[in-house]
Amino acid sequence: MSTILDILGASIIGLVITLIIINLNIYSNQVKYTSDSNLTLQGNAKTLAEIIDYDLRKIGYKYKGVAIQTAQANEISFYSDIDSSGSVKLVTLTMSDSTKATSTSNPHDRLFYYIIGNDTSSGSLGMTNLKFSYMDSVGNATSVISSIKYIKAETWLESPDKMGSDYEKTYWEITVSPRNI
Amino acid sequence: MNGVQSILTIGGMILLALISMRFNSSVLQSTSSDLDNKVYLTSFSIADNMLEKIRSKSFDQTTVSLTTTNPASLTLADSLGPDNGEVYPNFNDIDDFNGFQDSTTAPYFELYYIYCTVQYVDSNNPDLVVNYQTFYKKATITVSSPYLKHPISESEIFTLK
Repeated sequence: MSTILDILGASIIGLVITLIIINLNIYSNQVKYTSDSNLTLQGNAKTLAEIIDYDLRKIGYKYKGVAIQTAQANEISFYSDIDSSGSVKLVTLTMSDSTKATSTSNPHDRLFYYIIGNDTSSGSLGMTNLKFSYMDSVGNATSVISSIKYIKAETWLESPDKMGSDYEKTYWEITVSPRNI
Repeated sequence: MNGVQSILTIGGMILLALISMRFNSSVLQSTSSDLDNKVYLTSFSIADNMLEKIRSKSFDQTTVSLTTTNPASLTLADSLGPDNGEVYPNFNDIDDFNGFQDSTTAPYFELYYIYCTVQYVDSNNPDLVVNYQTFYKKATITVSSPYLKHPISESEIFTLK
């Protein structure tokens, strides 16, 4: 009887220990995946910020006249010799609605549209929102295109897949004072 | 089960509990680092924004309309800061931001505190802060937050030359 109890007790303890180890392994993998996902997300935020920063600084480059054509919350378009080719083109930065980014399981992410002349490039980068704010020379919000001196771009990004119960999120903002406006 | 076996079993369980706790602590540390990185990212973007505002101002109060070749005509080192009647955001030169403090909010990690200093630095050694006028001003933006273990600082040197 004592032997049976010993075996039963040892089996239960063994089972509990095995379950704990399996649980730890699952958790460890989840943490690693979340960290990788965060790193990718922050890399994407930086990439997006660099694109937006480069473009906004070139607003009006080699263009005479009012360079900014559209100044909306989710879209900006302006004239610029953006690629220093000697030819001024209309550049538009905007985003799609959330139904266009179908390559991920995240229902909130959108495509970032980068339109130069007739060429449209797009990418997801996990962007869920893109917002432009326009300010005059002292930093007050303005909707008058000729008064715009600062442009603030804000981006919100989320991971393509859920990490646990929610998506990983990050945010980046950048304010630019283009020299040619 | 004799006494020795019981002690061994209890010892094993304690060992497992210790390993488990150590593992949990590592996981918590990793999660905390992830969170820190996000806050640092936003802090740097806020510091960049501040530098961008400073970048668009004149080098000195005395060079708002006309430039100068004489550093002695620039604002005295002890007088760096907003001039009489100048209130943010109506600053017109770089050193008006000396001692400027502000706070701002950003999504996910709400509150950030911004502190600016502007100092003259030596023309041959930009790390050396000097107490006389030069054509080099160093603006340092420090951003702190309740969610940051340490504040971050970003500097840029502005020159009239």
